[in-house]
Amino acid sequence: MTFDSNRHHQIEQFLYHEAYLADESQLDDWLALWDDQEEITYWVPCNKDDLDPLKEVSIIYDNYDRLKLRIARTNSGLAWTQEPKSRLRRSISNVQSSPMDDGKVLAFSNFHITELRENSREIIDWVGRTEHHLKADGDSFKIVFKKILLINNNLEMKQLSFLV
Amino acid sequence: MVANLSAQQGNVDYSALIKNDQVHGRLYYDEEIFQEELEKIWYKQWVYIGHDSEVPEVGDYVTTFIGKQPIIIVRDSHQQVQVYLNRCRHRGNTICEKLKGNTGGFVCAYHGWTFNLEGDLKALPLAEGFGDNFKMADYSLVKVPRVGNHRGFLFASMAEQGKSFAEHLGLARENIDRFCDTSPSGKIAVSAGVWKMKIKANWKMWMENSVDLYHAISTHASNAYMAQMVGQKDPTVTTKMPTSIGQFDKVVLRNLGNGHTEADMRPLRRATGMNYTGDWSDGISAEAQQTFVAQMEAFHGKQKADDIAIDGPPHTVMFPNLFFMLQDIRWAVPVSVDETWLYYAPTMLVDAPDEVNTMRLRRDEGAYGPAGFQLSDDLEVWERNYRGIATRKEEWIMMGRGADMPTVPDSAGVPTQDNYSELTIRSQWQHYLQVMQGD
Repeated sequence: MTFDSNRHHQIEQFLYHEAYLADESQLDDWLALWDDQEEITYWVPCNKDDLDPLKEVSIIYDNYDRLKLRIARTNSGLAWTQEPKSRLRRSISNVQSSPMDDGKVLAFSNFHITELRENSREIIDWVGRTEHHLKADGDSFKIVFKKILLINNNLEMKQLSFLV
Repeated sequence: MVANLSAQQGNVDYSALIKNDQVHGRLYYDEEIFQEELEKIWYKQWVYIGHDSEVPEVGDYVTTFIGKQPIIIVRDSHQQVQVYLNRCRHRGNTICEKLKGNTGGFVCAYHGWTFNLEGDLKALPLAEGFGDNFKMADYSLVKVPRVGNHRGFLFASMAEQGKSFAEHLGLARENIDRFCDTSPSGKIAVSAGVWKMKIKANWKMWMENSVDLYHAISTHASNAYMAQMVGQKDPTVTTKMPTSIGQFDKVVLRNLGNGHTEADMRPLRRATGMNYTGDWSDGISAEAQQTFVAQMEAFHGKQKADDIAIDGPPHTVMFPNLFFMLQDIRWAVPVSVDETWLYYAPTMLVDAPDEVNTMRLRRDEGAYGPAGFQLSDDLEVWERNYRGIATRKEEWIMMGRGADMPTVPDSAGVPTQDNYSELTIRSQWQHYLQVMQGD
């Protein structure tokens, strides 16, 4: 089952908005997209796409408290890996959406993020697929679950110091 | 002109580049020195290659490197861990391309030479064409000459002869034991996956930093900031950070010999009382904690279990590439003079309650890995370290903190200093000097 085109469009627009806030480093606004009423999960698996987070390590496995800390740290001026801040642009595509049994929205999308690190003159490509679980919130949504599958999650990588 | 086929040896006067309290930048950026390090350290000394828990079942393998040389670590049909050069005996192709897996043997894609888990050449197409003198038994996979295993930790030496494995471990053996003894079975497992990072920096910058306490104040300033935020500014945030910079001056720096060094956290932990049934146990249910303590006491005895709970794991770097810290083991592979691959693995305590191991993962993810609140800043700082030494007007790198202080032997006779001394880094360099001069 899929959503009608209007609903699907709303979902896409939400994902684009989220991407924009992350690219612009408007992290407090980005955090406000998350549901703070229930246990949320911001998850970047390590080594493989499917793993049991209770038994295997992830690159990021944040609950709301830790995600909040992550953003506070990034904004603190003391996170040297983001001083100077990375310049970021990301494309979100191949969006597929469908309703979940509990009424939430399940959305899959691909991303291609280009990170420019000013001090090292490096340009790094981050590519992968995202699974969002969204809760309806008026005309918009709140994120309750976001799982990011980096294609290089099993290989040696540079620091992942922005919000993917 | 006749090509010089072998690396030039002996052109570098290392004693002129390594003083007691400073070293020359050339040691980090010189391609010739890197090549000489491959020969004298990575292809001669004992280096860490992996843990036998990464290949628990027959046919399990991982591929990795000793220096730049590709190797396969595999559990053979007799449950023995074998370490082979990842190279076909015919034309030299790598024969195992995946990072890890399970297999019945290795087949070279190029001409189909097929080896079993014991490394024997078992099949090849058109074997008769190689002539009457060709014996398959002469073409087994090549084993890395020497492999040592202490409590699952696998070390290898590419040299047929040299310092024995026991000599190499030396006083660091007790550190590995302390690490494993934090488990209620005496066993740890690298079963939860490995974080893999790369830095544009020389491998020695990682090695030095790993026993440099002094850097924590500034490099990890954001952690103190977060701890303060958690503790005071924002009562709705409940995550506790595992580090407190405040009392780190109690840590004792030890020179264990062989280039192995330790930042001994035991005095700090005894002073603060951090232990598995106290500050470090957030989120673990009382029941799981009680089970864990009972297991520890049953396995180790009450007194030792109590000591382990307070003393915790060692913070130790074994020259040149194995680092124990908190729940992790970390190791390095030198890719080139200016690139290093880093592997960090949270270890699991075999037989401990699942909750305890899950909490180890969550605690580690906060600090380490490519997105960790501590390691991401270390990764950045190592690259700045490398970029800065491109300067040529001033080339000396200082590591003199504590150089004018007395070195005090502890109860084990190990030379020590405290107060964030750089004794550990100086000790690494003195060993490096010996090795590069041909020890």
